[in-house]
Amino acid sequence: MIADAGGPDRWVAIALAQDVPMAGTRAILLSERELVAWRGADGMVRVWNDRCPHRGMRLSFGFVRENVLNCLYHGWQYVGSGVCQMIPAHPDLTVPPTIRATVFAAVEQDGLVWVNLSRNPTSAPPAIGRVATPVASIAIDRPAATIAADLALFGAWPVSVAAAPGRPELALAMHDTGGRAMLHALMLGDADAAARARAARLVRRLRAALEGGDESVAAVVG
Amino acid sequence: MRTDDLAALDQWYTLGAINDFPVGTTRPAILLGADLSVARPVADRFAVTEADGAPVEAFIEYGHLWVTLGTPERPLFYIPEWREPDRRAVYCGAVRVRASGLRVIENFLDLAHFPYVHTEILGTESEPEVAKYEVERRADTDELWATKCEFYQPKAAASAESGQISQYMYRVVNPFNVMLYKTPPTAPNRWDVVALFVQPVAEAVSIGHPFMLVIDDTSTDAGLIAFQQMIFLQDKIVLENQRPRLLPLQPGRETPTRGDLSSVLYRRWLKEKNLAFGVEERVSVPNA
Repeated sequence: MIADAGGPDRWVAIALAQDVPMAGTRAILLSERELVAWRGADGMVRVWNDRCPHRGMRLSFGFVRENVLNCLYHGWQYVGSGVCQMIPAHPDLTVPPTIRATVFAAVEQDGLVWVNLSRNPTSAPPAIGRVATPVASIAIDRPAATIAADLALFGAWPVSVAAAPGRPELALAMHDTGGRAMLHALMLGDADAAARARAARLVRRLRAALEGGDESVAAVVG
Repeated sequence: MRTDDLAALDQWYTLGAINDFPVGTTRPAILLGADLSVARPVADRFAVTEADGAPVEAFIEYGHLWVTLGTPERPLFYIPEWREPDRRAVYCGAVRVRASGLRVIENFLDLAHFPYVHTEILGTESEPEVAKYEVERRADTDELWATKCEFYQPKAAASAESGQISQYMYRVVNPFNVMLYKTPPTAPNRWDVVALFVQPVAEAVSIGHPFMLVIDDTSTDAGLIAFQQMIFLQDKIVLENQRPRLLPLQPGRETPTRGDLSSVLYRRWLKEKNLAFGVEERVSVPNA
């Protein structure tokens, strides 16, 4: 069980914003930490430890009503700040404010969900700086460090790749899933249906290249 | 790897209902990390051995095969209802769960989850309150009992045709074996017995052997088993997704409420026994 002293002051992209459903949850594995990203009816994304403090049930199995995340096990109700507002087994109990989920700073920007595990995040997520359309998040069966090395010549995350004429230009972000990684791909520039389809194919070729297939990474996105 | 936790070894465990072991066969089984071999050469005889050939003490009771890898302080617990002639014994089928057996037992003791995990069956959201009940540790048998439990249930059992307020009692006979007594829909003056015998395989893997002794003239065996399996599979979703997987006994690690009296007593009892198998090791983090 990971010691929860928070984490480094660093923004990590953990999902495409479109993959965290309205009034829904998404379980995300960041290194060895289980996180839950969820949206209330207000559309705001929150990222918490995926664990209810009652009996440790994963909150990602819970259900969202209005702006409240309800734990599946006993229906404990958590509002957007992480505080538990109601315990159904004891409806007249004023819940002590110490009963709360562990919340992290989360920002939705450029079509990505970013999280910072630091107790005092000082910065803001890096910006893509251009209009970006989400393409896909895909699992890459390689360590995050290896992927970063393979794509290092393109710059810091989120990186822009594929500047060749006629090729879709992608912006890529990534998060470590403990030995493997999730790559989050968006496309820059014109994003009609045909362009998005080309971008999706390019992302799959990139995965094959990163996983050591016949085509090199440079050939795909150089 | 066979555990060396004496508190776990010195207990009685079931390896399953006797019909899980066909006559004339030898089947493998794993208990507390130890590889066992279960031979049933004839109907009423079992020979259980460890991987090195050492014999394992084994006997049949309540239609189940019971073994120990250590030296239990007491004989097997007593279920008087086993001898009542108008009861049906229902063997519900083994279910493997990727969770600590202690989490499985604790879930069995819990009432507050009925409206959420067994919605419109054992509970309903409009009646979520867990009323005060009583708990005690009976010194003579070293068993934990929870009594005077009550809960409104839309469908309390397979034979239920309408909602009822069910009366419950819970009885934990040893760390990995538990049973409850509840009001049968068709015989409000007696108790149905629903037991869960847990076979701890590894610290975070268990096999549940649900078993019932019920008053029911109308349901088929298949109907009774289907009802119980549905309940267990709903609980399995929760059990496999509790973190940490091993049961925390450290204070402050999780947050009990008034309705969790049974589980508070259960955890205290396990701590006094110095049980380690299935228990989370001490961590420096409170409850995050």
